[in-house]
Amino acid sequence: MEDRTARHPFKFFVKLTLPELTGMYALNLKELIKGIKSADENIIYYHTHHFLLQHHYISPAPPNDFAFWITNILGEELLGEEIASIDLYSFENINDFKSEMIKRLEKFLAKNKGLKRVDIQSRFNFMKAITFILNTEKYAYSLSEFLDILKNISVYSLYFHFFEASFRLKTRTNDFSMWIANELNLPELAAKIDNIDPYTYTMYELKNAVTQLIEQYFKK
Amino acid sequence: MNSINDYSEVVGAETINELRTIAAHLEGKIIQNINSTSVGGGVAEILSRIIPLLKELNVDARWDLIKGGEKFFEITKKIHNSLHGIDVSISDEELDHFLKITDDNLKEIVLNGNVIFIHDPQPIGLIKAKKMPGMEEKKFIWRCHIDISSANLKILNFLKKFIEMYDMSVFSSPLFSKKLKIPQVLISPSIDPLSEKNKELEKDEILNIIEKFGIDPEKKTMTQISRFDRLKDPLGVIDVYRLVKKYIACQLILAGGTANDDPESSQVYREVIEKANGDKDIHILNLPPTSNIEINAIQRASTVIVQKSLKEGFGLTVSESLWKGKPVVASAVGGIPLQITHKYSGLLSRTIEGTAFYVKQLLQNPGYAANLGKNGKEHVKNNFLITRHVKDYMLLFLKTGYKEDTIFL
Repeated sequence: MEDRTARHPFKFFVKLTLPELTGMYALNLKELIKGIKSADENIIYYHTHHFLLQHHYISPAPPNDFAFWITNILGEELLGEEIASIDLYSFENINDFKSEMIKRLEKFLAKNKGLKRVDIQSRFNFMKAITFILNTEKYAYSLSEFLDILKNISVYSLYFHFFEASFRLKTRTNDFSMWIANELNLPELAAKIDNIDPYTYTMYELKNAVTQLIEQYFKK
Repeated sequence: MNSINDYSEVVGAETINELRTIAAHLEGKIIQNINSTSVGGGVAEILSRIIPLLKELNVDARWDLIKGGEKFFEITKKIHNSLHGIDVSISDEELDHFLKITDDNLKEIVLNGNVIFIHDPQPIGLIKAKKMPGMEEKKFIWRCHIDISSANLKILNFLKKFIEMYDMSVFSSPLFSKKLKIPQVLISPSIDPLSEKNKELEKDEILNIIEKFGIDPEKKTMTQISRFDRLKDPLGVIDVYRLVKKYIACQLILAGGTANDDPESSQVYREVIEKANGDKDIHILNLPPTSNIEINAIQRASTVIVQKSLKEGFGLTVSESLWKGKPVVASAVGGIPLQITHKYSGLLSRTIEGTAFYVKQLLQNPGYAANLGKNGKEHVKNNFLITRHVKDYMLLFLKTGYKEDTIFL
């Protein structure tokens, strides 16, 4: 396949974070719900995304902090599975996801009065992140240049362009697909990349999946 | 001393490039680290490794010490223990002496950093300089390397007056922090993959070292590396071994040291010898503090590593073992749950029986053990190596220049 040239290059950025403690914590489900209700987007985002950056290679299940704590610390496995299975990628903003989570947690609480409580050492700590967006000064004008850079960027750059994008662009897409569709006029390839559910991959797997789709395009 | 480029073989060139990109944004800033000692102790060790790497990245990182004297350091040792929750009495006269030495240091020390990074309680009072003329633009950060979750309230409240004057604070684990009026950043400690204790070793080198200690290289081995300290529960580890030994032929290594400043450790060491009762398969190794290569070899020669602590700081020995791809069974205390996700990157236990059950499971299932070890190594690679620590510190220094939570550079 031909290697088209874009008018505007793809600029690779990288997102780095520094975790910040909020001082809020929960020892049982009631306190967890209270904490989630008062938590801002930054806190909810942290607890549903930081596992992606902590576990590049293989993810422990369930891969979000709320579900992980409910399942493994509180021992409410069914509820944990339900929270883990909420399709975050189907929400355009984090507040809608938060409302859905609260709805399910409150439904469970209404049916189950016996509250399990953990000791202070096993508490759920509400955290957030200080975010740094850096320009890597790597630019791709063609798909082959894009592929070369993609293979050598860190997972933090991939993270920015994939996960961050859907919330930034307020639509279920990613920066790669947008650029490939709009600048290279390759809607089919863009759609294939768009169709990846990034929350079911580790960062390394995700990088491989995107790389393979582009390599397959060149082989055609 | 290793160069920053040496780490690219471990973490990838892209990670080192990222460090260079971040460092470029600190150009022109002086980062002044201050603590109480240049040798001995974890803080001095980590600063002696991190500061050369920062300098190589062209960050103007400096390191100054406060002066004290015997009485001052006796008091700060009491403060340290008291923050750890140990019942120690500290008189008002001693606290007055602490404040007097702080004032003496304030007169002598030149605070020339744009960011003043104060480590642990000894120099904490230097924050008083913030109110002095010419200091308005400087940012002060307090780095707490201690678990203060069960701190003595009198001492904590005494220190809190200083802590809350800082611009930011840093803790090693969410469990170690307290409610404070200033922002609290989480930065975990780290291991150096290229240090004597963690670098790759040749098979022959490992064999030579363990045979020197009379360890059978053919026999399944469970090991605990730790000081002879009650809080590390070496006697409990012998109980674990005896429960395992009923079913599986194996040997136990208890390797560590006795500290000169801790008379109880010699007593614990004697109790361990007594409890071993001459069992030829229990190897009790009282090693000098310089035995880094030996510890490296012992960890690499082990089948399973145990860390059955009753209380723990961060417990970095767990990361050291995981880095060697070893399956670890450890108590769910202190910073250990940050390093081990149960059944994914190791196993967390709470009792002697539970620990024995998991050790047996790992000794009988090498495939399962290898998977846990592999995941554990990858988890350490992404989260607990010195390159991540350098990155976090640079981001922290950068943050002092911005009020927002999202910073575009």
